[in-house]
Amino acid sequence: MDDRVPSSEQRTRRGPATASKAASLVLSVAATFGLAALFARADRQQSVAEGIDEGIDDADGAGSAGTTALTPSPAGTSTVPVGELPIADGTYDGDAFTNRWGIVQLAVTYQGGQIVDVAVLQYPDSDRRSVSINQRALPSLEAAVLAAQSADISSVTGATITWRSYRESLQSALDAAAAASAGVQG
Amino acid sequence: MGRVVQRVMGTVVSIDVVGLDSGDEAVAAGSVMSWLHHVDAVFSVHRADSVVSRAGRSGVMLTDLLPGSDRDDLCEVIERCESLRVLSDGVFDAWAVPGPDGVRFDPSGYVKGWAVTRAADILRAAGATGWCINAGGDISVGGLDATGCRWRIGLQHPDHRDGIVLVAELPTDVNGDGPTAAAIATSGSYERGAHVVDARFGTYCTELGSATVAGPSLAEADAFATVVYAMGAEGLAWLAGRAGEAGYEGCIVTRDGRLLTTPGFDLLVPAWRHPVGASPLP
Repeated sequence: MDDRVPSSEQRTRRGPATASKAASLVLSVAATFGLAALFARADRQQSVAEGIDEGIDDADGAGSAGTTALTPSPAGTSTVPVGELPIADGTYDGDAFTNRWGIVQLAVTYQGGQIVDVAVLQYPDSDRRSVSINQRALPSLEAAVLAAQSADISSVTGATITWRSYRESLQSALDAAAAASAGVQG
Repeated sequence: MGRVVQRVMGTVVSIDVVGLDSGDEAVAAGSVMSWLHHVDAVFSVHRADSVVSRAGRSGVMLTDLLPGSDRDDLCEVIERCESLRVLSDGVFDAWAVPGPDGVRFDPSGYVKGWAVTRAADILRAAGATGWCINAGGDISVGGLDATGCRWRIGLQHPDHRDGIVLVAELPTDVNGDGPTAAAIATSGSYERGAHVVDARFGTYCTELGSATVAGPSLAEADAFATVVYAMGAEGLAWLAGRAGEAGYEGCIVTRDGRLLTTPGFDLLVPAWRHPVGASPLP
């Protein structure tokens, strides 16, 4: 695990006209294993640490197929550690690569060092369909809570809840209200 | 009849049934709960006595352990897990899930959604004109609610348990063929901590606040939500390009407070259902 975490924290800076050999190497690796290497995985190390904190066994070799995908890039390439060099604003086209279904090409737009848009330039069988991504700012916490209180909703979708946390959840409040209203009708 | 709530499959399942008289509604909801308990007994890796757990330790071929319909179910689940592994380019891999003794076969990421889809079939067969089954945050709806309206599903705010970020009205109806079904599922780490694994790397994924997928069947929607969550930012492009062909749409909530959707997802979420403060970014 240790030998792949640092490399997974590296980001390949993809300038519109800087298709270096190293970048091609990274993307050819991505072509083999899907879209993984195109984006930063800055929180991988944190994720793994979190898993250990949770007492979950971090099974080394769980993705044995993937271990070769993120071997460190050769020295002197254009990969840089995340956080040291912010990505300049702009839209970056990834190289087109071939996965088992056909040719895939993505474009990523950065603003202020963050991804603000991902567009699919080419994807197998997707030419009949727009695949650009829409986005909004999330409501503030206050607005979100207000929305939950005032919205007439049937149910709540969210990360899988535990029995313990259910008792304090929005869903349990909805369930209790539904049971109460049924009691009034009955 | 009111809402039936039970603890099952390691979570909490709430069921609304519409269109039957109250005795039949109770019987139908009871059948659903029995089915879900049965699925747990066969498939759960958290129960040492489940078929999947026993097979995992003994190495006995899974399908040899089971008679009749359970074997057919297991074969179907195994087949679907393999399809999902291919469709997700190995991100979703039921054969590479970390367990206490190393990597094991764990179909949990598919089984819950699949079981609830079957549960909806039970309610439809019983004559229900509407239902809403919420299995710990993953939801199958059909037909219309008791007031004749479509079911309205709030998407929980990942940073605030009492908040929702939008309300989705899933496109279900009652027509000549009976009620039509739809589903919505969400994957995230804010309830159970890091538990979604990218099988390509064997690492736990926490890049996103949450990932949500809606579409015709909860079996697929639930698994796709897990895939999108595991993939992180590019998961939405995967969903729009690949899984969108099958009628699935989705959204992600990023950790820095943005809501990104596939274009079709907005059809499920009328503009007035976006809460105050959520306006399109330029």
